[in-house]
Amino acid sequence: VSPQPETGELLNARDARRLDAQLDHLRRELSLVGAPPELEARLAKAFAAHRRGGGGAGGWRGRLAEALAPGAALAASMGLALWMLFAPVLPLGTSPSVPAAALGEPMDEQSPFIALQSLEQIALEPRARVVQTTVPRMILAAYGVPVSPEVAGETMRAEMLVSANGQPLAMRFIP
Amino acid sequence: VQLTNVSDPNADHALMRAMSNGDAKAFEAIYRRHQAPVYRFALLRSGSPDTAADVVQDVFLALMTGQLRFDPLKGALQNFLIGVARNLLLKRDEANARFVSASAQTADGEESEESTPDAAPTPLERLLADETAEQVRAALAALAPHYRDVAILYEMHDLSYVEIAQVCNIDIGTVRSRLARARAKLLTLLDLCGAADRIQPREARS
Repeated sequence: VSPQPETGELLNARDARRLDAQLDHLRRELSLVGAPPELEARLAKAFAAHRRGGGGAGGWRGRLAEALAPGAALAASMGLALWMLFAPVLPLGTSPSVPAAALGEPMDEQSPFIALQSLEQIALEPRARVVQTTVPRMILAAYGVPVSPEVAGETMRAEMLVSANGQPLAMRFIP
Repeated sequence: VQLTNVSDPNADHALMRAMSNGDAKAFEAIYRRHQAPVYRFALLRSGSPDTAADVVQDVFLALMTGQLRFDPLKGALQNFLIGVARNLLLKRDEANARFVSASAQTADGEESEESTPDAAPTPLERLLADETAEQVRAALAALAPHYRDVAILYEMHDLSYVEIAQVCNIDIGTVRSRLARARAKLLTLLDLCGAADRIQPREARS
């Protein structure tokens, strides 16, 4: 049993009882609350993907991302779009056509681009451009990359392929 | 009302070992034992069911992939998971602070005792049907985070001072003083909205 708070100097006994009575309402209400049922199924699928992994080509990380999709990927894309509205961007230049890297091919020594829109939409974008920005490291988790909770709130550099009107089309993380 | 699941440390330890050996049933059992308290903490802490669900997912994802180093000698698994959830929420707060100009610092440098709740109703407000429960939830949400954490862990999770000190990484004296201030502030906020007068006092928890 937890010890009672020593509230003598701030709450008298009557006030403490009044507060406890109200807190009981919230306790009762919360006793019926738990995580969404579908989350258990998603995590079970992710666990199975993790077990099947073993570090082979593609690895468990990709399968984990697949297990958590599409909800997480959609949320990440929306988050990225919101982030893009606020984060400072440094234009690196414009591209008259879609870079090959946007379609998943590695460019230089960096990670490949991850498509945030359909490849058809990206391919039809006439004036896509690459901008450099920073994104929350937590976004990596949505793509199946493990993120330590200790650094989840930190940011990391990324390059984004955006349309002429600023819509994020694809992104890649810069190590 | 007892919200927190009774957690058997030995059972958790055995399940953790089985999970690390690939036993899907063990992971399922761990999740079912601890998801609700972690979710409730995140829900009260964030005020958002979506954020709470994301946090639960991140916590158990990190657990299953071996990113978390749980030491059973340092406390119960459930408290450890709630601590991880709290860290994730703190990181989110830091990230959100980039876009919010509101500051929790008063002019004299002291931390404010209240946070700034959103003006618009949140999904959580619609979640709680009981009017008094909702008012208490809103009052908790209006507390400054360092008071809110302690109040939630003590009042809704029945953690001891020692356990709260471990989860929040503060000393026991700080837990005691924050809890006393949080309770006093809570009652003030509830009196302001008139809920306190509608509730009959009950006997103190034994």
